[in-house]
Amino acid sequence: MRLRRLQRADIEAVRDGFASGIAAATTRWMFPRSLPSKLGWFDDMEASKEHDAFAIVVNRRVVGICSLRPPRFAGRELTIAIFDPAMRGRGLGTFAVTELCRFGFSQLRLRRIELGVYPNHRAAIACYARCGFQYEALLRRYVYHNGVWTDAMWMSLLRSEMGLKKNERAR
Amino acid sequence: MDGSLWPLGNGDGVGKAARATGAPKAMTAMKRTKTAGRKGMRERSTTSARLPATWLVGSGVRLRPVEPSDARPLQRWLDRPSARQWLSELLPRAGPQLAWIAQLATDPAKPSFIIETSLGAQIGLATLSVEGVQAKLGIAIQDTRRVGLDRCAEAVRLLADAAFRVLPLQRIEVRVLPSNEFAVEVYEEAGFSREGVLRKVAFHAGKARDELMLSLLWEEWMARRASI
Repeated sequence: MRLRRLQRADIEAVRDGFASGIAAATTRWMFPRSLPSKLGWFDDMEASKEHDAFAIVVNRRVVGICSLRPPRFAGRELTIAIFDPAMRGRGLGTFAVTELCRFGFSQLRLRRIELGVYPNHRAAIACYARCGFQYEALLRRYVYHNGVWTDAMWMSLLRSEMGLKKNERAR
Repeated sequence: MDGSLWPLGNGDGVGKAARATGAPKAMTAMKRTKTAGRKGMRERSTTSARLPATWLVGSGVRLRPVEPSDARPLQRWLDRPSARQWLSELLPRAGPQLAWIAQLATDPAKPSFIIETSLGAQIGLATLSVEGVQAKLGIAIQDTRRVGLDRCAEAVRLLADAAFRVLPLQRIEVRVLPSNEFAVEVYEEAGFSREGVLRKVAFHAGKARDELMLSLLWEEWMARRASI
């Protein structure tokens, strides 16, 4: 498994991954839309200096996507979705989140990475906790998900809390 | 890369119903008739493995996003008098129509879908136009008599259901010409209620016409969802 920058050629797999509805329970709901509209999203992401997306690749196959996008509060917001159900529970998420945070703190020099997660998504919460994320708040009726306004659990990781190797640490 | 990577409904049960029931036998017959191909949009038989997967799957129909490559066949179909009989919004000339269809594929406020049978035959168009907490729904079926009330209503229900799940909407509204009795029946079957007749609000076939307003409220959708 590895993480690499999202490429234009990956968008079809990402589109199909989201359109299948497999990640729907744990991500924001989206309509399946045309390929060009997804490519438009990719181009916006590429043009933006506050948005970095990565493909999660296993055996040269894109099985998920993760990104650091502009924050709700401060720093960057982390997002992740794994599309292939067979790839769940294998430490893929922990690997991707750790790599992404390492990138964010060492390359982007971020001070804070934040994320929202549905309170009933135990596996994800455990994964984020394993990566060092701290629970901050339960934001009530914060996200519109599957037809209702639902609560979002808000977590964050500060640069000082991330176990960076010496050469990755900011001066 | 193709859509076969993510098998339909793997994991959460979406699409399993569609695969289990398969397509009614009548549909196979329908695909073989030669006239079906000439009627309008070509009924391409696409193997399901090559289609992008989607969670908008019912027992008789499914919705897949409109792609820019749909513009030409859609425009050819929508230009026919039979299709234009009930459509008031479309302009008569090809250019603006193509632009409108291209917009359907990419405009974030207009999630639009091609209605397909479980076998991949394209039978119509379903669009949503979102304005804040309200949305307008529209559906056009190529051959209503062949598709039938149930499948039309299912297409409406699929789109309305998805819209309420994805967007924080208060209501979804639909406006139809009162003379289009079949459409009224379809929307009522899908759960919409009549609200009244708006006088002289549509321009259709050279005249200002009344339109019947139907709507589905979020509460109604939630109540029905809870009862299932």
